[in-house]
Amino acid sequence: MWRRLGSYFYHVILLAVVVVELAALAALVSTFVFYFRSGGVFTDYTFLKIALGTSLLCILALIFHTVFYPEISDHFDFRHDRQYQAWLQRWTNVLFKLEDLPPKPLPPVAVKALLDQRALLIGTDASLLDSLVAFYQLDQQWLKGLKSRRLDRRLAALAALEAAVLPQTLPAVLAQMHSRNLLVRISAARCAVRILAAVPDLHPRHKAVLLFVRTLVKARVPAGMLESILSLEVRASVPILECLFQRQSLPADLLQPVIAAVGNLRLVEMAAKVATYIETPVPAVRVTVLQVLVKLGYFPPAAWPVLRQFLYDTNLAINLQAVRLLMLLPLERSKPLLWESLGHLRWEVRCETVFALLQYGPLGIQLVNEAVQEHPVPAAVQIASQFQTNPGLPINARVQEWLGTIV
Amino acid sequence: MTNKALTSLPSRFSVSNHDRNGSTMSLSSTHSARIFIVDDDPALSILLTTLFTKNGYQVTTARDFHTAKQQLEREAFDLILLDVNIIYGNGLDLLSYLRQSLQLATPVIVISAVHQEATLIRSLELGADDFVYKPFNPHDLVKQVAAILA
Repeated sequence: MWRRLGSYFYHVILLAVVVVELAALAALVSTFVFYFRSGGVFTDYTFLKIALGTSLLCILALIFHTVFYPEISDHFDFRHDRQYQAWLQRWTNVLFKLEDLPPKPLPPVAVKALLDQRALLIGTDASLLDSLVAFYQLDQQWLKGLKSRRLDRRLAALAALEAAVLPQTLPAVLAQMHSRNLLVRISAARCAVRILAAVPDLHPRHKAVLLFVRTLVKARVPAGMLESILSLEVRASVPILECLFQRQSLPADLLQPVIAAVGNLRLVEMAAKVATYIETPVPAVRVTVLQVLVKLGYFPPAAWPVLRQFLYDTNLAINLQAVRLLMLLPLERSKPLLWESLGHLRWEVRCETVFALLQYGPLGIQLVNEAVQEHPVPAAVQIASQFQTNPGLPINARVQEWLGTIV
Repeated sequence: MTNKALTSLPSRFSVSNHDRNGSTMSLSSTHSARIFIVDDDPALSILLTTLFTKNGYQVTTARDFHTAKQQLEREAFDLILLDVNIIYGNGLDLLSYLRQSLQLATPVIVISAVHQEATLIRSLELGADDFVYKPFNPHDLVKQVAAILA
């Protein structure tokens, strides 16, 4: 609060100094013009005096701000911290029945302390603090804040609701996901996921999940943000992602973050569902699908027929992911395609193939050595010779040798 | 003789003879276990201090790495509750310092807000005795601490 006021004050002073200095300059110029026109006699000093006086005041205020504001701010910080810790102690005492409830209304610092304390707890103690939120009618205050025209108030209300995780506030929070303001939409989505995580017995057909998914499909949340929001809480994300996968069709801008979230949360049980999108026409989504399959260590049977096509796709990222996916197979199965991709037109793919072969251990290293002698493509021979090594050497010596070759 | 042996231990036992004939003896606790809480979050620190004090433990707290390090060098504790994120350092570095440099086998419970397998494995590798994720049930934590100290 005081920081915001201090910042406003500083900008006002700066603006005043600039305006007054310009006015003083204009006054000086006009005075001298009159001075010369009137034959060397000053006629009016008043405006000049006022301009110079105000300018002096502004400069003094600026100096005061620069010198004293950090001190004042530190003092307020210290006082705020002390009050915050006192309230934390008070809520803890209330929790362990060492103190009675404080009277209404609560100052903002008390609300912050209550929410911070609530965020640490689960079980009966968390329920007790939730009942305090209801007792002090804080949820009503926050819901009122959501209707405010001021952006900062709406964001503050969403932040408070996110910390309080009150299931009854979910519909009001979801309504904010249709806001014109991007920040509000993102905060509302985050808040909704946190609230969903606190809903007991959550499953993909749960009313709250269905409501969230319906809102999410219509709300315009950027893909990157959506990915991080869907990766926030495993407890909420699993039913949400399952519900999204159960939908007949998902738009590409939603599909990519959904699949990426599966990878982020390492939800191996959803690998088969991700694999169904392997032939999606959008290259970016296909890259994400392959990336997630690699991350989950799942080679879908449907990938085998299209793998060669992926290796020679015009998109480099797809080529690279195809090589990485091949690595999930045993060498006897992946060998023909890896041998072929050693002679790929793109250097990056050739390099990735060598790395993939080296990951297989002695058998892969042997194949790299064979490529130096027998591969029909000169580029393959060249890249293989760069990584040629003795499979019998201990691993550290081999790494040293590779590093030496690369340098 | 038994009394002498037990009182020489840095633990909480004492021997008293309740029988006037000198035939029976009993063991009793002379002081409560000392818990050291290292956490930068005042909310958690205050909560744990109140919780364990209420349950009869002696609690010392530190917010940052250097203070915690100095405290560990100066005093002996029965149990340490260590947050992964602390000011001016990392809780796991402090754990490593405790086990490797100070060579102390004090039981340590690591607390973390981030559900990361890597952190859990690393802390157990460094010698943590248990691991608690935030949010947690305070009563379960008290039971955990009591079980370790038993």
